[in-house]
Amino acid sequence: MKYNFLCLNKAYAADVQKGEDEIIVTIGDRRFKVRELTMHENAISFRIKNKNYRMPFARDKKKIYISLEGEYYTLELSSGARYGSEGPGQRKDNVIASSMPGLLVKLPVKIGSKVKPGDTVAIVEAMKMQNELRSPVDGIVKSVNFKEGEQVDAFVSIVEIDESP
Amino acid sequence: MFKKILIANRGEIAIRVARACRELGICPVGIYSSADENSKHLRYMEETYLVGDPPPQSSYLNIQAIIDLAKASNADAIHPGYGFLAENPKFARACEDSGIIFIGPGSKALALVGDKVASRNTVTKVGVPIIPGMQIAKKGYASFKNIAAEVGYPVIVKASMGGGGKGMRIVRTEKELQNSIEAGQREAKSAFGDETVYLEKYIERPRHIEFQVLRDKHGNTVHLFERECSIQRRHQKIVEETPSTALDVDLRQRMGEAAKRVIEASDYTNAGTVEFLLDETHNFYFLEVNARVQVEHPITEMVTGIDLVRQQIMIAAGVEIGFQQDAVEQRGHAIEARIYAEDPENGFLPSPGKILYLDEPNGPGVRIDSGIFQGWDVPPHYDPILSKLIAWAEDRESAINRMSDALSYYVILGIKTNLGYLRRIMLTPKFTAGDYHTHFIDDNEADLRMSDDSIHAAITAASLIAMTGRNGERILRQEDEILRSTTPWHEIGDWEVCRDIHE
Repeated sequence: MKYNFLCLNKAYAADVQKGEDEIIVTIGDRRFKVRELTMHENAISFRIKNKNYRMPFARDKKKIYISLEGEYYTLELSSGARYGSEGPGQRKDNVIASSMPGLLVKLPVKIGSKVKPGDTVAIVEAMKMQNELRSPVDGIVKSVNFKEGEQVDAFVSIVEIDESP
Repeated sequence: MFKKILIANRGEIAIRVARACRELGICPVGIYSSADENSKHLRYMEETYLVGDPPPQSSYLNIQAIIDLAKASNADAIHPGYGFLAENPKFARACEDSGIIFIGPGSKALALVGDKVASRNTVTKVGVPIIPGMQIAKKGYASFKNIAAEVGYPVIVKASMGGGGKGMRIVRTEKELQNSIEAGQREAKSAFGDETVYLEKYIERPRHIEFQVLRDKHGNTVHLFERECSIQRRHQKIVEETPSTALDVDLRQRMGEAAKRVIEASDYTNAGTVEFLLDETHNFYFLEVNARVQVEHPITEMVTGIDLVRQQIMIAAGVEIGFQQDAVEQRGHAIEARIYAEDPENGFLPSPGKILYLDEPNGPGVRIDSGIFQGWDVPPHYDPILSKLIAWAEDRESAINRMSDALSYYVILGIKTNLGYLRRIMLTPKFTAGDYHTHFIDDNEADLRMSDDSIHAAITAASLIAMTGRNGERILRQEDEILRSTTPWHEIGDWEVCRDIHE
């Protein structure tokens, strides 16, 4: 069975197969022989070679969350086709979106505004922190999809810019 | 002593204050916004009242609503916690006018120390050095430009009402000045309801060292030693420790005495913290007075054995501090790590959401001041602090090891947190050596980066977890099966049980 994950902004493909008396997980060109697998509601443990792993985990519809040796991994399940309409993987330069959900507190541009790289096009606030969204490109504002004072979701287009040729 | 105290706050600090109330036989009264109706702090209260809608201005910053609730519930005092209205003189005044004791300094002293300009004038008179800069918070770009030119770049723009780095901007060239002032004003307005900002000389590579002071209404003043708060991201403290590795006996004594002079000169009562910057040649400069119980107060409690919130309540009730300066000792070493709902791998952006799994550590010398529980939806409206982990041990090295261990057993899943990042700080050579300053985070970026050494193990685990179901219903059903078996592999048996995620 094949799974695609997005973790720390990188894509990983994993393939799980049943072996003789172990499970074989192939990630890229690495093969791992998994033995002694046990799984409970919020914990998984297994052995690879001589190393034992015990990890608390949780999951929701799209993500698996794992605590491992003091680090925390969020693995987003993706299947190339479905993933990408939202999420950081497919962000385009001319689409300005916030990477956190929040309140749109300032929108200093309107349709037709000229922007240069580094110009602030929107300010989104969440948990008392303001995040300035700057234009990475030179161009003219083509569309504005929210108003000041509105709530915006993460990775949803707030402003789109027509890049100057 | 008071009979009832209204706690005008939320999260871990509201719980901390409620505990102190209960121990003193005082009834704690809680308030909550409609985003917090299921929040943990309410479980520690004997009475709870809805204060308003989720935005802070309608709820935890709503002076009239809070005063009305205090009156309605017959509270004789209000504890403001930290943040929100803790350092707002209008709120302290409103309490005084309503005959309710504000647990903190009087409104006059609060106004004085909260006005960073007036407080600088006050401390200069008692011989405590300050950083050169604006003496009066001026309006208008021209005066900012002139003073910046006079003290020389880099300069820093700060909020007059501020704290915690909100509204602060470092400015390295005149070109950036105007934008930085405006950005600072916006943040100040949103965080403190007052957009006044000022400007001063920026000191490179300073240490941030603060002294905890208590002063009662009878004029007794003691300091409870320092807290080293130089580990900051975006000017906000994330790790604090005491004692500081930068102070020797003589410097500690001089700074402690200076801190007491600042508090006395301001006619300040209750618990207050005097913040200093220490430069590379061990000159110290007064920064500001934090007129509240601070987020990092537990480390002082751990090394001195003095309960600061209890002291706050007793001082407010007019009780005399029951000990002298020479009776206060620093015993052992304490470190605090602040757990935030934020993503260190993505610019520390806030990460509100549901906590799907929670397992908090414990053990000798481990203290957790926590405001969260499994299943709780962390609301997006407030500060992203979730809890504080405090480790105490006989010496610094043991305290670091204890903290590092506790962090790795602290499991919060479902939202992004800085737990892994905090543990990396504990393992960073500059931190273990005690050789750091406020730019620690930027200067040690390579050491603080998440290593992907274990990524394959995580992906292996995730694949096996994913295998057990591809949508909610299936996951639930299969988990039931798995729960009945210690070897799910055999239980799952046929591969066709779960289909490929691609389908």
